Amino acid sequence: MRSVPDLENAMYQSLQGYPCVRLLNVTGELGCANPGRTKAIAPIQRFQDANSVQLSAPRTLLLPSSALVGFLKRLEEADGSSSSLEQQVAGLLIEYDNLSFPEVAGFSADSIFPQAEFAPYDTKSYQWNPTGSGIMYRRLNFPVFLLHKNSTDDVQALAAKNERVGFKYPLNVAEFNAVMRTTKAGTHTTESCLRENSCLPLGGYSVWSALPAMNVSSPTGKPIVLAIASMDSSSFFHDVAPGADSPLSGMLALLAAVDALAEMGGLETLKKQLVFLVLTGESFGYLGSRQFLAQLKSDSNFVMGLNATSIYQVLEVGSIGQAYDSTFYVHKQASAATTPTLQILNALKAAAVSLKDSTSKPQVKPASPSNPGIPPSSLMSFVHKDPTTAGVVLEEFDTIFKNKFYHSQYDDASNINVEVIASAASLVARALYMLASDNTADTTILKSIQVNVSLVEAMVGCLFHQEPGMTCELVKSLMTPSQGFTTHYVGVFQQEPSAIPDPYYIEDTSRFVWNFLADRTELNRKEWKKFSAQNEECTDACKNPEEVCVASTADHKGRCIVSTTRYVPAFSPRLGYESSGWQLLPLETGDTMGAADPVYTESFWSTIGLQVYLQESSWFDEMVLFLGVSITAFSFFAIICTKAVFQKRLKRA
Amino acid sequence: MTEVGGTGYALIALGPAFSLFLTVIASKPFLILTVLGSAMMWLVSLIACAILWRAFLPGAVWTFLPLLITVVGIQEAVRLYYWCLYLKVEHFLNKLAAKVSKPQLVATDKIQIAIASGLGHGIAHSVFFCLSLLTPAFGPATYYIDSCVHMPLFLVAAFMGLGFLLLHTFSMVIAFNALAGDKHFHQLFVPVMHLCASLLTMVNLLPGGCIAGVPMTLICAVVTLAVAGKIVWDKTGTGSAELGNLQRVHSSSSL
Repeated sequence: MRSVPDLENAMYQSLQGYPCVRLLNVTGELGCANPGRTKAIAPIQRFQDANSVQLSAPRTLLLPSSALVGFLKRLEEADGSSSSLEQQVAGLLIEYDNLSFPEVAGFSADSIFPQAEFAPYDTKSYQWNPTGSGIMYRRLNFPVFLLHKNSTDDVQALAAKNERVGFKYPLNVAEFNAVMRTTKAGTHTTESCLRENSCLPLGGYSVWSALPAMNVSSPTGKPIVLAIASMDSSSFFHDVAPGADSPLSGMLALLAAVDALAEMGGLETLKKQLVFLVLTGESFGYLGSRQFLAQLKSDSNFVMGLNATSIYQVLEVGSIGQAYDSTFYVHKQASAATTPTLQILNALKAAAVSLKDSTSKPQVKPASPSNPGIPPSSLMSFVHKDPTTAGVVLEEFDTIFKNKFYHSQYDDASNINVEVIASAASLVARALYMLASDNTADTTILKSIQVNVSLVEAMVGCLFHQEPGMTCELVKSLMTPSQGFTTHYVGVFQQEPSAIPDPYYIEDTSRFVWNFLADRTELNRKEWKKFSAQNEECTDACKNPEEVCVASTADHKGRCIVSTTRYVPAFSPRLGYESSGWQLLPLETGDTMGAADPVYTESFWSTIGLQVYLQESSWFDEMVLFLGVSITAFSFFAIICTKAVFQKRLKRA
Repeated sequence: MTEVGGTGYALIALGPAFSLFLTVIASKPFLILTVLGSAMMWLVSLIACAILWRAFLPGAVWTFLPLLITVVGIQEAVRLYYWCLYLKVEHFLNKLAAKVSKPQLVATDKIQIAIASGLGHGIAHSVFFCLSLLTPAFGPATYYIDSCVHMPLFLVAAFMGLGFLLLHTFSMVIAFNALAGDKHFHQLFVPVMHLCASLLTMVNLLPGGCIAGVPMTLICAVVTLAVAGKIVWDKTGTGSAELGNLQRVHSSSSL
């Protein structure tokens, strides 16, 4: 230590961790936060499991991740002991673990039937997600952080030191700063916090694209085959919501399928038009799909070229990254129109047949008729709007989720398989071509549709690994990311919803999807490659309003191309934007999904931080002050007395 | 540890200096100037030591020994130089007083000037070696070093600051008296005590050493204070030679 700043650095240690943040909905709050306006400080104490937690004084609890659910359950118990327990918890730190416990049981922060209130059928108690704990929806009055690996070791050492001295001061304390603006403003529901400007609605930008590019001002009127996937996930800790299997494996399969289909010629001669839609915000009340349908209904600029009646068939690609037995299940709603829905199933089957010589040999089966209906999926929004919608959801599971880590921090790259995703992508690509050809395409053409497995591998590296993360080659060639490692939590809607989307306010994942789809669905792409000098350079907009600017990065300008790739805002249709800001709109009659919509918002916060240091008890500080004051007072009187004594002495002399 | 603790530490280190300043120094402008001037000289001597030792630091623990010896040596040399300067100033002041028919400097004045000079040294030492170290003490955290688990670092620094403040203040009283009256014992006492106190601080380097090191510094300070007290006691006693000079005690001092 060479200087006073070095001393200060040695005194305070900042920890790395992922916080649980305060969200609000129409009925109240969920998530975690500091209870008031001040930092939460308490000595660190570690317990091995949820049941052994005994607190005699306010503490910062350090628990292994296997104890989180059990401990939160204990707090829920109706008897008096749980509320006194909760009062003693100043903050909760969860240790990083190497996936040792979840191997056995699984862990999901969502409920047993995720978003059951939106299901277009009555059996709301069906257990799609048996490992579901529902802790995502709990309201906690203390901050919770998930620690990084390095910080976990440090904090365990500090907790052990506290134990060794028997919790006698000075003790190692943790200081949490997770003060939320909604707490300070006293607003505890979506409606009040939007009015007081202490929160923002959740949302982002979905992306849709057409292959081949359409003339949006005068559409051909071809029936549309809409292929859907989602790009957002969730977890108890929003900063670590990878969602690799659920739902991004579906998105990867769809993007790889678009890549394969873009190589095919003659798509404009096919009977139907292919449109791809990658939604965001689906984990929070299906706000992406519902807003998309609302935009279609109001015929907005964002969806120019599409209309609700032209959508003939819907194929949703759900979680497909864990289909290790190479079987994919086709889920449909009983009320779906028979003929067009059967055509989708047959297209998928034909695609599977064309792949029987491949290494993966995927199979397609209809889901069990004992299921109450379609699993939690964006298709639910379409079914609510029109129960006869000819739509299916392609999933890796039949009757219950295969993903044991749905909506948790463990749904990462180790939870999916690249070959399985590539196999699903081949299936989807060939099935979509079949559908576009009205199921008339022959096997030879189908077999020529080839998915690039290394593309899937590259995307997995970009989206789910720290290295290379979003600074990978694939992403960097298309856009400049704002950060290296992204979470797939949807985040808040930062712009005015009717404004032209400003890339500055759009999440990296959405921007990547937009640029990828625009690049692949570019009109005359193969032709362009011969005449590379033809495209105009651009940074964000193109002179020709029919063109969009793709692949504009910090290193090189983009190029203007003809592509029907557009952003669609994604936010709850229960919200409207006026000059005064966001407002909760009155509920329309017959809007069942709107009635069930919690309308999530996230509180503003200035900083969220976590640090640890050694602290004395307050009486020690008071003793030191007392000592200082006494010494000063004593010296004061001693000097005065001495002065008097010497003056007397001098007088006498 | 919080503002309460930080204020406490600051008062421990500088409370007596503050009291001394208020009761003795503050009413006499010349003494205030003396405090400032002496503090400045002390800082110059520190700079000289720093320049000398810059090339060798940070070094191994054994370098502390030659470091302390040379630094104490330089500071004592500066004290002698300060005494020479003081003699010139005293001579000049007396001449000036004679010109305007005001009284000359008496013994009590000289003692007060000595206290002010010592206080200047002590305050400069405290501010540099103690007060800057205490700034983190106003935050919520505390700090213990490995070799001293009994007291926070800040408490050790505060007590050491207090000890050296008292030591420097009263050493100057002894030094002025010794150099004026050419008393060899006292002339040796000051540098030797200074050196002893400095070397004894190295006891703090041993594990658990602060339990012994801090009281030892305070004992040195108390001893110095006692010696200075005795000198002043003797000086204000019934010694005939100085009597005449003490007569003007009641009237306001020429300072």
